Amino acid sequence: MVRNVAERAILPARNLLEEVGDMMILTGRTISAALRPPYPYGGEFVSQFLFALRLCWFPLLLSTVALNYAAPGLQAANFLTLFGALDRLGGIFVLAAIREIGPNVTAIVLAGVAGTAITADLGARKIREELDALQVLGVDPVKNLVVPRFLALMLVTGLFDIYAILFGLFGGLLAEMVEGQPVGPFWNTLFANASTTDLWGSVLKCTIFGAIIAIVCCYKGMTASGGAEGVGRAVNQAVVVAFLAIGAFNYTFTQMLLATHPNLLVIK
Amino acid sequence: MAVVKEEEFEFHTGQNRPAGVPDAIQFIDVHKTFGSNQVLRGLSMGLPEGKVSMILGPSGTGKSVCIKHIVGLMYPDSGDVVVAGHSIPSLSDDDLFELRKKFGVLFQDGALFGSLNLYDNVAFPLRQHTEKGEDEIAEIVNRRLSEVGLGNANEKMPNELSGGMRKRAGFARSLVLDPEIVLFDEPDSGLDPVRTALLCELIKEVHAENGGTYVVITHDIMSARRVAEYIAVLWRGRIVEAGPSQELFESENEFVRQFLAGESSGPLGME
Amino acid sequence: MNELFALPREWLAATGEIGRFMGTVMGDVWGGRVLHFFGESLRQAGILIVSSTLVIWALMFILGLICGTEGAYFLEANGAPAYAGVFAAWCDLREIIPYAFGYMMAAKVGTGIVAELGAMRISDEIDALEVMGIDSMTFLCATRLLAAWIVLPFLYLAGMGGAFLASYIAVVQQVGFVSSGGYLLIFWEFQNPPDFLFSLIKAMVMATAIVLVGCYYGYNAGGGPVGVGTATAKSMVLNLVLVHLIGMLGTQVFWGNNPNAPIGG
Ligand SMILES: Nc1ncnc2c1ncn2[C@@H]1O[C@H](COP(=O)(O)OP(=O)(O)OP(=O)(O)O)[C@@H](O)[C@H]1O
Ligand SMILES: [Mg+2]
Repeated sequence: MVRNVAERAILPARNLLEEVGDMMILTGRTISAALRPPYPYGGEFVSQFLFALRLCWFPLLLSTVALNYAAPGLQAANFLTLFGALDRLGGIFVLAAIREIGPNVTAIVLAGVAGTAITADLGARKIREELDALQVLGVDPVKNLVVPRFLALMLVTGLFDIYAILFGLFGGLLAEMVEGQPVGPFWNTLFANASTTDLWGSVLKCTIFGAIIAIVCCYKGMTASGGAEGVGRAVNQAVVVAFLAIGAFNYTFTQMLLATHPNLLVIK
Repeated sequence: MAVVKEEEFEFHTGQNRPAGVPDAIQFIDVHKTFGSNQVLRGLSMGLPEGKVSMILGPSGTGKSVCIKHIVGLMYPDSGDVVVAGHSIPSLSDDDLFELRKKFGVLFQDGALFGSLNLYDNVAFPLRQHTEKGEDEIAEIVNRRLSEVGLGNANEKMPNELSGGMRKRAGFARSLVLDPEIVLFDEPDSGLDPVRTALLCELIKEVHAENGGTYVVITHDIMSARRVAEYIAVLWRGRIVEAGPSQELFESENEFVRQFLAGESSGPLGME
Repeated sequence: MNELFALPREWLAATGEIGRFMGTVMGDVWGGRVLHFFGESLRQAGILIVSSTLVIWALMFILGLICGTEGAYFLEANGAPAYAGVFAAWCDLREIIPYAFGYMMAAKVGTGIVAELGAMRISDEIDALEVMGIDSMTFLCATRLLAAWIVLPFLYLAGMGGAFLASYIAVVQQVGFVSSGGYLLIFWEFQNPPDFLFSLIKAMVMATAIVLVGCYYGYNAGGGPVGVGTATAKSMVLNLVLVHLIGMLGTQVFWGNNPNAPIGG
């Protein structure tokens, strides 16, 4: 029993560390493969980009509107009502929709939707031995499969961040209207508080999320093992690792951004 | 309904030579189609009670599909399947579960539970359906496992076994409840010739000991010669011929002769 | 254009089937049929505890840190740093931590179930259960749902404790605009037992949906190992959307227009 618990709890932790190392190596190889000529991955890049776009727009739309309507919308309205400052709701949306919820929800949805699809796809190719066949034919799977997904996912998550922010603000407006408030002050406090630093910080953060998702999901797909459970397991592990990585990176990034740009904090 | 081109069935006499006992399992004009793939096309056959019957036929003709119809995992599009006097498609779920307790089934790939080790896999039906204590269960399980030559692999997980070992373990599991109707889907594929011969002996022994209706699917003519008391030859979703094995091995039917002799020339090609 | 709407159309088409599936499994649990397999339920509960607790707590803790950090800076900027406690309390208890729980449940438990049941389906193990006279839906799905209901309330409340601790660390130890006593006073002032109950309900509804969606996709998987991988990925998409919708509805029902706080509102 004790051994069993140890196996279930500790071994995965050690394997996880080893895997993080492997993923770092994969990141390095991906970047160098992307930069070194030749560049055969253009077509794959475009198709992956469109694929992610097609798959994610709808879940992301529902998710951001729902989340922003409820959390910073209704709940923060409650909070500000306490201070008699409901007109400040726009300010809170800078923090919520732009700085945190936009990029985080985009990352969560992209990992859960596009990331899992990538892992399932590459995992399928792995167990059908297509990846081995590619290598035998002298084609580098990193350059031809990982690089286009890496670039496409970075671009697509960056763009989706703006999409998520827009629909997030829409959710906030909805909440404002449900509370029976005029929308004018919402826009005023929003634009008074939003800075370009907020926006580029958000998009930059999200782009890096995209890179993390791509590496984790490609890695898990390409190392899927055979057997009936292989690909499913790979997808399962890919989302778990991606979510934890997103959370950890987000915390570091927020700390850094707030500490190095104190002017973000001044409410106007 | 399916368009039937008669020339496809020129060898299908559908002749059923009586086995002298009533049928335990009956297929009555069964049709089954998956999408555009017509698998069973008016299958009528009876498998005699208390005997070892074999269903023979080329790959992909629907032998496994037949087994799934017998145990109610699939229902016919039209026609009826009668097992031990019950019409399977019209049974309620609860009655079906009751009836299934009389079945022992060996699936084509063993279908062992991946999360349990060998011992627990074989003990599973006993623990679920009987009040037996662990000692008695251990006695039965160990006997069944050593019968199939897996006496010292108790602790192994299914994914650590070879295909043949999984099959033998599935065989042991299908017999632990001493079922009245036993269905084996290719018990002998993936085994070496000696193990195949031993397994055939085992089937005969277990049958002699417990009785019951056995249905065995196989490609292996040697196995058929060894254990079959009754043979049904299935092709293109219908019975070509069926009857006591001795009579079938002497059949005049061209297709049956080709298949039972394993020759490359004859009505059956690669298609 | 057609492909753009493939996903919503697929969901619409499958709604009835998923609904029926969920109804059957919940019926098995409510009706007590699952108690035939109580041992299996406990085994599943054990597996859930051992293999999923830590990761779920980890994400809840990280988001607790973020709630604290953002709250501390935001209220400092608004000139009311002492009220960081309100922000953290509501961010943790009412909104973000339930989402964190839902995300990790979907990722770890939901897709895990799909992978496991899907593998059982394609290697005929589910058929094998059926022919042994065992109702596979009760044995595989209802037991997992019961296990989730047994384990998750405790797991969730303990994880919430961890998130509170994380917010405390972020606000008091790390950012440090407010004293420990001042923070805690406000923090506890602004939540009450009904809030805990509502939060728990929200999380449990999410968990129920996630387990059932996982069971549905796994139980009905097909098409070999590749099909199982695809089903796993699809279950994640549906689960994410459900988590967000349930979170929103919960907030609307429990706290819409009702600050539920000790000072006027
Ligand atoms: N669940 C299903 N859905 C769709 N098609 C199926 C299904 N099950 C079987 N088939 C099809 O039915 C046909 C017969 O399959 P079956 O497995 O019964 O063949 P078989 O006679 O057992 O062959 P083998 O000897 O190779 O095992 C095949 O063409 C198969 O593709
Ligand atoms: Mg077969």
